Amino acid sequence: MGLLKEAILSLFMVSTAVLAGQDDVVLQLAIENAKIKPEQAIMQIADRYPGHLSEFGIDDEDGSMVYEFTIIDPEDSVELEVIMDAESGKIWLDDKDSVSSKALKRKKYQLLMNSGMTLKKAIDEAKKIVPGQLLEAELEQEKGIVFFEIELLTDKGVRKVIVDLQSGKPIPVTR
Amino acid sequence: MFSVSRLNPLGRLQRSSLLRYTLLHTAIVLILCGSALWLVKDYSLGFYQKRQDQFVLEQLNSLASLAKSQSESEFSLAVRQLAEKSRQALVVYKSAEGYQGNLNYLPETVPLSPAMGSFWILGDSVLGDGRFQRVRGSRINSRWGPLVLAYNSSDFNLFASRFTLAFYIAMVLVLLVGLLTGFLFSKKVLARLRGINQVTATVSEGQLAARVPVTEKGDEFDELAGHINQMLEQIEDSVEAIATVTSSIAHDLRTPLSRLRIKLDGYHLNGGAGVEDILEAQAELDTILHTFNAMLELSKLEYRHGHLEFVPCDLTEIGAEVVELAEPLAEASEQSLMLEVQQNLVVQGNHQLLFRILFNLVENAIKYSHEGSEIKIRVDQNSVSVIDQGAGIPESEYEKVFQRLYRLDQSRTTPGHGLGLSLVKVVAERHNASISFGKDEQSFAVRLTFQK
Repeated sequence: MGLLKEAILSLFMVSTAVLAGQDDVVLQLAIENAKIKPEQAIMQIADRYPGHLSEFGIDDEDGSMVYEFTIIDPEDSVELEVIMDAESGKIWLDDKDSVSSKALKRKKYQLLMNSGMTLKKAIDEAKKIVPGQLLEAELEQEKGIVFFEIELLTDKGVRKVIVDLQSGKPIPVTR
Repeated sequence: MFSVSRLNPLGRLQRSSLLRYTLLHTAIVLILCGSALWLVKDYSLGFYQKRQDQFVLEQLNSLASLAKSQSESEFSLAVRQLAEKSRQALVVYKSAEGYQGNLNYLPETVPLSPAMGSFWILGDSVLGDGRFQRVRGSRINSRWGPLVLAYNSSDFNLFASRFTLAFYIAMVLVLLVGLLTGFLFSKKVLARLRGINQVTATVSEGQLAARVPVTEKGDEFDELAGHINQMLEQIEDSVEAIATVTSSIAHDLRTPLSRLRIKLDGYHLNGGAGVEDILEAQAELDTILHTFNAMLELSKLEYRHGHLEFVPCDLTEIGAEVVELAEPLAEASEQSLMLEVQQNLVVQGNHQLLFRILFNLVENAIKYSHEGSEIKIRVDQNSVSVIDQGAGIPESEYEKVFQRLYRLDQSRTTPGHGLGLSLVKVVAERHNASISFGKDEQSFAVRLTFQK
């Protein structure tokens, strides 16, 4: 994030020294200034690609902020990694891996495809209990529970929300 | 059935008791160990869980009464304080401003107090047993909003999961050990039964000489084996006896009968028979009838038909009578016959039968000793013996000579019907006397020993 940080700080004419270690603040500023917000990006990607979104993240590439997506397409048995430029809205395919039919039968993907729960709905659910800015969302499985682990940026820092795919409801997280 | 099961090992295994006993043994061991471990679990972990539930309900009670008496902000503060201060309490309260407490969400599935329910939380476990924890809690609907309180039991959960793991490992071990010991035990027991089964099958296939192996343990199986062997011994003896009797009858009765038939044929050809011819034929018939009668008498004695009168019998007296009657026979072959009394012997018995058998023995001695030899009847304190200087009976024939119609002389050329020693044996048995043979270079003795 080095380059991005420099770019943003120069934009706002803030000294790096003042904000040393305050990556969250920088990130928040970056998102607030982005033309396309994460939620909008997710909508666009969901409309454009068939399949199911399983991951969302924010990164910088050569100094500009980008959104990263992972999409599972059971029709073609592939996992796509797609990148969108937060400024221009340009979308390109970063990586394409084939997913075996055996892997697709796993509980993780079965629930993603059949539970009716989507990344979008999970984020909405998460924001209901922790109002904040979306930073990251990931499909995970632990102890037989398949869930979206969502990180939201609040005024108190980064907060985690877990949304269970089976029930469509959050799982309480200690704080 | 037997041959089919031999061809089909799987079917044999299913029918065999080995599998059933092994499984039964394993099941019993599993149930016992399982219940023991379950009891341990119930008394340790179960008790601890009840304590946790109690803690949750007590906290909820006090929060419920607090909600009634305090304002919303005071209540909210109390909840936040509880969340901060208590390590055990996981509490979340849904106020108008959002979720308060140390959980970020209030799970809707938790039942109302006093019922308890469990739900997942994501927490940072101190012991690193995964991030997700199953906790038990309960819910109240206060006037300021719903509240869920649960016991933070990550340590307990870890302990419980270790216990469960230990439980499963123990059960697997018990299963393996149970199967192994059950298998070995059943195999050992059933191997012996199978041995007996095989022998009886062999016998029913006609091999009467088969015997069940007997170990030195002397347990129930050996007892059974012993009984079966004894039974087989008797069956073999009977079968052999029947075979012998059949062939003996064929020989002993066919020869005189054939002779008779030839004679009658001769008379027929000659157109008539003289008085002498008829007398000869009668003598032939008498021999046949005599053999029949002897066999009949023997059977009656053997199977204890008829009542025998037992009186005190003086064997010295009987011996003297036998010597008197047999002396002419001995003299005919220039043999000397004498009675030697070492001590008087009186036994309970049937005078007539004792005389018969003693006479039989003396008659045999005369018949099978060379000319000019010496024959002695010796009476002592508990036995009477007939001693001669003949060849006697070979040791290998000791058992067989008592069989009906058995003849030492296999060609059956010497006169006799082969029933003499059988009679001796039967009569001796009815007098509780045992028969033994004594042999040295000069003499052969048959001894009847009476029990006192």
